[in-house]
Amino acid sequence: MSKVIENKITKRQYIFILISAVVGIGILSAPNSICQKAEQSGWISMFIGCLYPLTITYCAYLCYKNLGFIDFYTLNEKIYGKFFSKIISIFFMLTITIYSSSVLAGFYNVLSKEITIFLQPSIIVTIVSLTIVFTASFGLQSLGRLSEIVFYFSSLLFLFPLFTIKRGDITNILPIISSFEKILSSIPASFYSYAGIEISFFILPYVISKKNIKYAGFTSSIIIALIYTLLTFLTIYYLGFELTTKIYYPVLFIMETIEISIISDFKIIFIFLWSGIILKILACDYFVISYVFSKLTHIPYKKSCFITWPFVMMFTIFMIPEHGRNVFLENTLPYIVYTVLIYSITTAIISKLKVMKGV
Amino acid sequence: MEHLSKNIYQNINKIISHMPNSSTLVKREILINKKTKCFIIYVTNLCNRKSIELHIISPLLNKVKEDLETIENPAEYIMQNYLSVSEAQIINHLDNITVELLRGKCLILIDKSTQAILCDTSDIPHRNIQESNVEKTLRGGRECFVENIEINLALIQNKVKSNKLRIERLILGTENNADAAIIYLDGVIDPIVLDTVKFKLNKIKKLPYILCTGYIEQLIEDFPYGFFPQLKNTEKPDKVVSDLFQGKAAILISGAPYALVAPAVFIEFFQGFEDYSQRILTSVFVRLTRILSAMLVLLATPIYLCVLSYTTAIVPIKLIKVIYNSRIGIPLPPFLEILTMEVAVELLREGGLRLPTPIGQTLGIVGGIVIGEAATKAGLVSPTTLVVVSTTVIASFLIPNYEMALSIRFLRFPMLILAHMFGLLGVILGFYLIVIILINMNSFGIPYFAPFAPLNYSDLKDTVIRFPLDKILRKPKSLKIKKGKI
Repeated sequence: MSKVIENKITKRQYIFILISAVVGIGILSAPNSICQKAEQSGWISMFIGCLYPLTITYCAYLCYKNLGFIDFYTLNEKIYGKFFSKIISIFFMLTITIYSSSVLAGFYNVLSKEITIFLQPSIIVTIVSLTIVFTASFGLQSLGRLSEIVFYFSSLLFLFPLFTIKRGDITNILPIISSFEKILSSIPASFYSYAGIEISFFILPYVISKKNIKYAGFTSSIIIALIYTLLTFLTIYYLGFELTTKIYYPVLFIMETIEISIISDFKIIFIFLWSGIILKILACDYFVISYVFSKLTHIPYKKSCFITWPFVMMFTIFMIPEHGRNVFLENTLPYIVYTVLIYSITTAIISKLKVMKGV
Repeated sequence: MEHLSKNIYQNINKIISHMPNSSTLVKREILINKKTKCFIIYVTNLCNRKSIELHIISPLLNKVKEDLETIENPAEYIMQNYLSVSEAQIINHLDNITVELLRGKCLILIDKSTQAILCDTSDIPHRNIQESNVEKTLRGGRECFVENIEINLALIQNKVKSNKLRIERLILGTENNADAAIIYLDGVIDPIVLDTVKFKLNKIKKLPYILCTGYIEQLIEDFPYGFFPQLKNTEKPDKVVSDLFQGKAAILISGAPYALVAPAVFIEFFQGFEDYSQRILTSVFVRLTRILSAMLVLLATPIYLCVLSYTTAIVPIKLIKVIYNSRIGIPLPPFLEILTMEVAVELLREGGLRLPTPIGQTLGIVGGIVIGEAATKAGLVSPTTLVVVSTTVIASFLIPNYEMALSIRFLRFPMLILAHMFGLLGVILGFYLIVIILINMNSFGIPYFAPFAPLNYSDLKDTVIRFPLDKILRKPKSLKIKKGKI
């Protein structure tokens, strides 16, 4: 058995890992995608979108509560049998690979435009991904500690955009409700911003104290929703929804306007500090990839980390062209998100039925 | 077991065979009551001769009137009735006799007796207790440890007048048989931590020789190749006592004027002992300054290199103009310029370290000024680079623990190389890797980055900030290993 399986995390670390797995590069562009349809009410859609993480974390809790806190692979085996458990594991592995590759590719795009113009994409992707492999190889306990510490230090970063309150214009967010139809139609787009919460299925069994674990999932979902909603609201409040929809990274654009006497471009400092968050989300995703791979192949976890590395690298290189990535994600993400949603609800229901039947 | 025989000469020969080349071994022969042959054996420069003459030889020669051959246990009889030494014991074998004699003990062999008396007459030459030259404190006790373990133990015992204090002795090194001791407070230290310390010390017992705490430190730490010190080395007894009350164990070894304290967590190395004697706000300010200085040592030169070479846009145009103008005519590229200065500083510092204090200080100041001035005048180094490098050098002096300061100073070189290779990304990744290493390290089962990761709110009261003493004078929760702790 790989070392990571023996690792345990606290409830607090569970909350922070969930936050880490969702809040990443996507948050920098989330206001852009959400305002396309919801306009100035994008922040409302963003908040309603937290139904997705709430559902996923609650379903994960129900599944494990009903069938005992066994690991993800065994859970699927109990419900769907050996063959389908393998298929489901592969699906999740691919899903998280897509998430992590798109985050890494997005991170490369931001870095290459702002601070590492002189480096080849292959070099950036290689060194960043190797750092991630190294981080993930320490296992879940290490991720728990990392997520905990990075969250506290990075909380300050979420507060930086608050300076826009002074400069923004209230008319940018008025009328508060553009139209109910627009808000509802953009909710699916907000679901995609919360992608990554699926990690809940993989780490929940390793939480030491299962007491009130349901609320830990809710807490993390609400914290994520508040961060996303706050940033979307401040972006619209400061830039207006029209400008927000025209800038791909509106949050970065806001950072650029922060004036500090000794720093000419605060955006670079923000990226510098934000990198910690990106590396953390990548490490969380990479943990799931290696974990599932280890379960499927019975290769020890540490070795799995290194074996899966070229696979993730390949995906990332494929994802680097920004337009291609967006098209790919636009076409795949909805299917992934809905499949995960259906899987979670179905699994929760079946697990309940199994308990009722006394299996 | 090598038992004593009734033949006194046989016994002496056995002792001599254990210490064949000892020219300092004294074998004083006397006749008790003009009849019974007796030998008093000791190592001359380790014993108090006057004490031997007064409390052993004189009573044996002048006071004993009984015929010892008629007494069943003559050694025991003599010890109980005639010897006026404070510590004496009966032995019936010669195991460890070399070690005992070299500890300054005196052996009394009596003819036709299978027992001998071992008296403590030790008077091993030692340095007097002095003020520390390395760990200067503004407020607090001045005394520091010496090379004599007994004095060191006395210094600790004098400060902890508690029935919880435990001192467990052990011998380290099969060749040098160094006396060592584990000191802890029973009921305060976590039993798992204590067992780990004992287990690790027992593991290194069989090594041929262990000379000082530095040897023990490297042999028992969890990550010998790690960058950071995992045990605290201190020469101040009051620091050791403070750590004992926090649930730690101290290790002393004869010949070393230092104590090792285990376990140790990262943040402790940035806390000074006098922090607790100062006003709360000033001590918080000082601690923040230390953390800032560590960050400066680690990041200032790599970020400066990035600004010079890659990410110029980060600083305002006026500032970048000043930096660039100062570099006009400098033949070395920024990386080599900074590296040269850093290496020069390290040379000066290492050079000054080995020299006597006044000369060392002069070398540091004069060398720094002269070389810096000459290098800028010669056009090898720009004044701004000199300012940045010298700021990091001064910043490194703020870290109160020498080992930690050394580790952080060392780490700035890989950081500089990473910055040179990958720009700001290299700095980010380097810093991130340091954090990863820190959060995955343990010191005797205690997470090294505690109480930050895993987070313990109550222990945060004495980290970078410091709460009032009545809130923090207790055992930290992070130093307790709970079942299933992460």
